[in-house]
Amino acid sequence: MNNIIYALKTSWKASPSRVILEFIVRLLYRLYNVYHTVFLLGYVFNAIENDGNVYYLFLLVGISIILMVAYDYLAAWYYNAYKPYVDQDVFREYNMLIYKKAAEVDLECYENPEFYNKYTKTLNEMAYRFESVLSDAVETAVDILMNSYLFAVIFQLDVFAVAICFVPLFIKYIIGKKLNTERFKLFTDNVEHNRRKDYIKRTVYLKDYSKEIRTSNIFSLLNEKFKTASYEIMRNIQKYGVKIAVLDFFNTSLVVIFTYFIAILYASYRALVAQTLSIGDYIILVNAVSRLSALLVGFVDKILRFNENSKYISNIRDFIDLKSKMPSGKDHISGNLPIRIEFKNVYYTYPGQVKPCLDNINLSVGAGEKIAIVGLNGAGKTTLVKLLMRLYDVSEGEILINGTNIKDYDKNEYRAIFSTVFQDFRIFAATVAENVLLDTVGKKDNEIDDALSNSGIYQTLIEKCGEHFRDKVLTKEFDNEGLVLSGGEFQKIAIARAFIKRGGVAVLDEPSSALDPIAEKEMFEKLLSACKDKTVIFISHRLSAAALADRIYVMDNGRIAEHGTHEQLMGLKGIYYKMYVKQNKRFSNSGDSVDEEEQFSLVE
Amino acid sequence: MVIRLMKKSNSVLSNNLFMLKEVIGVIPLYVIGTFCLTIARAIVNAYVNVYLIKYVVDAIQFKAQYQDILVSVFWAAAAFLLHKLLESGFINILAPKMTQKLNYSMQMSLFCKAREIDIEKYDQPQFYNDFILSMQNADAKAIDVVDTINTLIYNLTSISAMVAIIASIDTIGLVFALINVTFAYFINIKTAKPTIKRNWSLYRQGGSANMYDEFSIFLSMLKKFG
Repeated sequence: MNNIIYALKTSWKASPSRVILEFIVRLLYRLYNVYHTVFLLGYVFNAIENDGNVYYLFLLVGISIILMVAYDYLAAWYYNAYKPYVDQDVFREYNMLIYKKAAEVDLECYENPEFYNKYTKTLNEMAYRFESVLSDAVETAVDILMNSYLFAVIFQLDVFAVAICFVPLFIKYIIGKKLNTERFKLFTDNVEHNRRKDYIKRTVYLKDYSKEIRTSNIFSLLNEKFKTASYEIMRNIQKYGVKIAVLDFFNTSLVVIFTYFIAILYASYRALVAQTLSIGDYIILVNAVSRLSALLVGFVDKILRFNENSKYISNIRDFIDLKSKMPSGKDHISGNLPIRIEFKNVYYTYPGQVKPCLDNINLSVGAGEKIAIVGLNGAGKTTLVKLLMRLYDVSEGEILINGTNIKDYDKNEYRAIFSTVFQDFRIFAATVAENVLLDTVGKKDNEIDDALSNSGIYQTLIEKCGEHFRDKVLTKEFDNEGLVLSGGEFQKIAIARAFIKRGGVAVLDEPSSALDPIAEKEMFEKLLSACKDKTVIFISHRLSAAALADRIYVMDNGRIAEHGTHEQLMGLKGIYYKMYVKQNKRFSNSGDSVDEEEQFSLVE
Repeated sequence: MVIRLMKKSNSVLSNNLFMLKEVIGVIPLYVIGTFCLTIARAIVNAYVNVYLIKYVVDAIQFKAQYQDILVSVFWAAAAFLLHKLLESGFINILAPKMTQKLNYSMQMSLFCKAREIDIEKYDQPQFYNDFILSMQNADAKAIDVVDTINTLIYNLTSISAMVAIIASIDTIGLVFALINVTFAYFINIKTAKPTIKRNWSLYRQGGSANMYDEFSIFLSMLKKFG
């Protein structure tokens, strides 16, 4: 019941006028239906049988037509003009509930397939279920009114006929409930397979995957997975289908047998054998019994549907009520303060894994200090940054910012102190300015220009798009004239984000992977100069860039293996030294645009 | 004008026939089963809802034997139950499996087609809207076509059954029915156009539907009146 009330409250909040109009339109429809099938027909038959007044008959038919036209006009206006228009707002309101939550949930949830299934189920079903609850609730209210009225009419004609109306009610309740349960089971068992199929359908047609699909054998693999998902769905249909078919048969046929065939036999008996009904009353009785039964069955149907909808709405509520496993603290923090960072005995293990990804990390970064984190792939560098930003919480140990555990800070305020550029950055189908600010654009043209200039893309944008480049839409997703840049150029736009945001800490997770060494060096120099007062943490595979940092931490297998300045680490002749020598050798052997001398000059 | 309309009708017909042929090629049993059950439903409905009522009212009016009513109701109920049994089995077991098969088969051939498309096409939003989205929903549209033809078959069978029943009672009644059908046909055609236009414009632009609304209201009112 709570779930239903929740859905109704949401619908009412979205548009009260729509709820009221829905009620009026459906009430009028039911009223007209009962009037037409029960009274008008009964009156006509009685008039024919008893040689009634033709003038009154024509008048009644004329009035009926006027009433029908008036109702139809109202219904047509409601369903064609009003509802589709208001629905835009209503569905936006419903979806915002989910989108807001999706933006809030812990990043960890996205690594959990069960979460994905629930999320997909919620998104797919939400608008339909809320709508279904609203229309069922309105119809239930209308049905109660109509049932009471028809009940009184039948009671007047024949008390026993009332009993006929109630039999299908029990059949429907018992069988219908079982049927809904089986259908829900089938639906739930298919969610994962349908999600897999949807994923493949999306992937095959998306541009992002088009190159791999054309140049590798992934296409066959996707086809195979699509086939397996289809097969699994068919297996589930086989598993539940027979039971559902049998229940569906009894659910529909037994109800019709009682509401229609038994009603006809009973009314005919009274009219023909007992001779206690006229033909007109026979019509009224049969139609009223069948209408009341239908309404009662519909009533039970709605209760069952409430039951069914409640299961889905429960998912929606579970999702919306999902509490973060990382509760927000209450302390305030400002990005304008100098930021000191300390990791104390930090361990982190990803859910479902046994081996810790970070193993007893201890490090400290002074306010305004520039540190680099280097290491081989899978060493735990990115995880360390994610823990720092509280995208995940540590499994053991603590991270302190200015001496306070980061869990004590307000989560949103805390995350706002970071200017971040991730390795797997995303460019949105929005304007250049919006992509740099990652916010709605105010009058910040100078700041945007400076940021783009520092990241080294300003001149390119001017050349390609002229003075109004800030309003140019990136990608061709929604605009034929959209600007498509190279991977390195897009990366520079992403890097500009680190220049524009005035947080106290700049975090760059391999921001320069698509840049050539010269552009990378320039970018780092500018960044370090622009972030003079900021604490900067950057991850880089290129040790020439790492050498620009005040201190370098070398990670290996989830641990900090070495740390110190470039010179100190070279003197140690450990992992860093080996990596550095190998990297230099590769550059000097490659014969690329950067020779050995240049490499060393970059380091120096 | 007439030629344009004929060309348009031809393209509508050929598009629908194309889809129907695709479906028949993959799941012929689905199409045959759906159409047969629909014809049976139309006949059973006409028998149970119209002929049976007429028979019972006549029996009461002309004081026939109650046993006659019992027998006719028994046969009507038997026909109804048999149809319902077959329909439940078809809708809940066979049809969902067959539509999965159709989905698999159509998507597989469309996946291959998508792989052949030049990558530069992806940079054209119009192309993406028109083709990619259509490809993703191709199987659903194919089933829609079968459903539409199915509805047409149901209406035609029902009309034939009704005509037979009305003709057996009073041929003048057929004139009223004919006027009604003709009126409803033209109103339906007129109503469908703005609705399709509106849905298409919403699909393409996500815009408001208001410009067509007043006309739709008026026409759907006339249609009901008809």
